This record gives sequence, structure tokens and C-alpha cells, in this order.
Amino acid sequence: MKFLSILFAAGALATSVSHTALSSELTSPGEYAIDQGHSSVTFEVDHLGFAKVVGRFNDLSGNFTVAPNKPSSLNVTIQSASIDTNHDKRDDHLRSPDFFNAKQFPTITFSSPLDIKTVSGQAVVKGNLTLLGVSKPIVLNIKKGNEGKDPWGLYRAGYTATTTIKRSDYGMNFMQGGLGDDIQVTINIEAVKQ
Amino acid sequence: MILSLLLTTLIVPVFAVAGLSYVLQRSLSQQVSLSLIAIVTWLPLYAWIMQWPGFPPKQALDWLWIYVFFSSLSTVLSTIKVRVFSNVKAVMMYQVTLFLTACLVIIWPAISYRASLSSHGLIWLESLFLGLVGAYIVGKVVNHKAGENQTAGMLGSLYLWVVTGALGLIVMMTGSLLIGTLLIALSSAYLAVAVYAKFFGGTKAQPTTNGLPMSYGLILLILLLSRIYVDLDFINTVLVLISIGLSRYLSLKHHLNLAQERWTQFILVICLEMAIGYTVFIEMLNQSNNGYY
Repeated sequence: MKFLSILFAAGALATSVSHTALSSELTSPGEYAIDQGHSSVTFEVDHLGFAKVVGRFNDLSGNFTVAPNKPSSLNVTIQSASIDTNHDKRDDHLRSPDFFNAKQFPTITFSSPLDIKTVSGQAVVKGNLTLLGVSKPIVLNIKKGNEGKDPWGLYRAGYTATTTIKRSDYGMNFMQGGLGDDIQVTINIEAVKQ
Repeated sequence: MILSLLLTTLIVPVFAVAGLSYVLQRSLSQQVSLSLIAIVTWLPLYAWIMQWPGFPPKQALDWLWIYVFFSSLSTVLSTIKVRVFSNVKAVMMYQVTLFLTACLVIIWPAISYRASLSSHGLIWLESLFLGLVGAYIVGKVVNHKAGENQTAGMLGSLYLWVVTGALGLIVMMTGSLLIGTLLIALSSAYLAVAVYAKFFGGTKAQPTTNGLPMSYGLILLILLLSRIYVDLDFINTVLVLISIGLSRYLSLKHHLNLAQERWTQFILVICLEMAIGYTVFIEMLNQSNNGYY
């Protein structure tokens, strides 16, 4: 039993050292495709001042390119009809012209030159979010995750980004009295080098 | 939120229609189209409910006021008999073309996105069917010697009140509170028009048939929009379309005997009841225990 504990502790130490080493590196140059199965876009919105309602978009795709001598770029496309707030009827309503108007605007896109800067000790990236046909610049706070080969030999990089947007900026004005205007968005991305 | 809903859907439309009708009736020497007043009253409510529609229009709903503007232009010009607009055929061509253009502009984003015959064939056929039937109804309303029949105008407003109100309820239950609210506000304006004409309207202020083509066009556009963007059930769409057609028939045809009129009214009401009942049934099947807002 004691032997097993020592073995487990040694394993955990080795893993943590390896992760620290990986996360301290810059993303290796190359083309990366977003791994949909390990990525998510979640959002929170105030509900009548009581608490936050949390939702997510299940269909997310995109890629980013890291080039040493050329401008890097990031493109993310979210299928607005894939919204999921754990309530079918509410999801139907959110897809309607009252909110996301998913038939007319099937996609929400974010594109950025992927120029990561540090502002007050926080890594940020600027880009354009297009929602309901309206494009506005937004700033994402970035936290880099690990990067390196996964157990299956694929080269993988991870990021977590957060931002807050005002839905009224994009013309999504319905039910302002009941549902908050500020939407806190969290994006977790894992991308695989191509 | 509930007070705002009551204000926009009931209190403001009723008082605004009554106030505007009273002022215009006293100040204008010409006959006033109360149907036009109903729509003119509805426009600020539309802006209020939408929190100002985008300009240039981006979303399908943003186009409605543009349709109303151009349609009302024709209504006003034909009322004061300006040149080409004094010709009923020219007005009919204008209204039908305007309606079909508005249909195309409103539904184009949905019917063209990644479209192929296999994926969009059915929705193209449906859109064509709804657009052509709508254009036929609008054309028939214009063709009915605009402005000559005051009783037709009042009946038209009453039937429009019923049809628009029912459609509003159905759309609200189906998935769009926003479009439902717009329809209920419009419905209240029609009711106010009919009540005002019945109890306070003199010979000058009557809901003449002048404003009806625009009213029918607007409702048909919202019906099409609801079908395409809110996934209003096809059966419900057809039932409401039949009701709209029958309401036009009832308000403008005067060779019906009493029995025929009653039967037509009966079918109209049954169609709307079936549509509401069907929507409630579908909603109950999908219902969860808790409200989501």
C-alpha cells in the first residue's frame, strides 16, 4: 500500500512538472484546427436579478494559424442553432427572431489577427465578433493552457478566453427588463495541429 | 415587464387610435381611413416593441415598417386621387408588386442559405405558395373599388382584429413573443378602429377599404415570416391563411345571403380555433413543468 502511494505521488509530480513546462512555451507555429469535442462556448446571463442562467453552443468550429514571420490569425464559427440552455422550449425561443434569429443568421463568427498582448498582466487578444449581422470589436482575456503531444500523438494546444458583451450592441434588445444586457462568455478551445 | 406588455398591446393602441381618429375627424375635410390610422398607430408601437428596428434593415422584422411606408404611400395617394394612383388597376399592380418584393426580401436569407433543391425544395414551394396566395388576396382587396364601402371597412377591421389576435396567440405559443406582441398590438388597433367607427365615427371617419390592402399585406407578411423564421406549423399556417382569405371574402363580398354569411363566419372561427387548439396540443406534448422566463 505504501509502495502504491509513493508511486502515485511520483506520477503526480512528474505530470505537474511536465504540464508546467508545456504551458510556459509559446504555441508552436503551424495550422491548428479546433477540436469540437474538447471545445466549448458557454455564456451566462442575468435572470430577473435572481441568478445567472447558463447556456452553451454545441456546434463550434474554426482554426488558427501561428506563423513566425507572418501575421497569425484566428477564426471561430459558432452555429447559433446549436444553443443549449437545458430547456428545449427556451432554446426554440432563443433561436427565434426575438434573440439569435438562427434561420437568418445561422452563424456567429469571431475573427482576430491573433496578436496576443499583455495588458495589466493579463493576456488579451482583440478581434471582431459578428452576431446578428453586426460586427463589433471585442477584447478576449486569454489564459493559455497546455501545449504538446497528447497520448495519441496529436500536437494539441489549449486556451481559455473570457469576455463580456452587451447584447443590445448587436441589436438583440428583446426582454431587456427580464434578461440582462451583459453576457459573460467563456470559450474553452483545444486545437490540433494539422 | 407586464405593465409594458399591457401598454404596448392594449392601452396605447386603443387610446392612440381613438385620439388620432378624433383629431383627424375634426381637422380634415376629407374622409379619413381609420384602417390607415390603425397601422399608423401601430408603427410607433412596433418601434417601441422592437427597441427601434435597425436601419439599414438587417433582420427580417426590420423590413416591416418599410413595407408599411410604401404601402401607405399608395393608400394616401389613391385616397387623394393623385394621377396614376387614381387608377385601381395601377394601385393593384403597385400593391401586389410591393407585397411580392417584400416577401422575397424578408425570406431570402432563410431560403438561400446553403440552399439546394433537396434541402430547400419544400420550403421554396411553400414560400411560393404562400407568396402567391398572399398576393392574390392583396390584389383582390385593392380591386374592390377602394374607398367606396364603409361597412366593408368596419367589417374588415373586425375580422382583422379576430384573425390578427388569433395569429398573435399562436405565434407567441409557437416560439416568438416578440412577433406575437407585435400582432396583438395590431389586433388591438383594429378593434379600436371598429369600436370607434361604430360608436363615434361620423360620415367622415369610417374604416373605409382604403387601408385594407396594406393591412392584409402586413398580416400576410408576418404570417410568412412566422412560418419561415419561427417554424410556425404548416397546418397552422394554412388554417390562418384560410381565415385571412375568408375574412377578406366576408368583408368585401355582399352578395352572400344570411345563411352563407353565417356559414363562412363559422368556418373562419373554426379554422382559427383549430389552429389555436392544435398549437396548445403541440405545446402540451412538449411541455415541461417549469416556465423558462
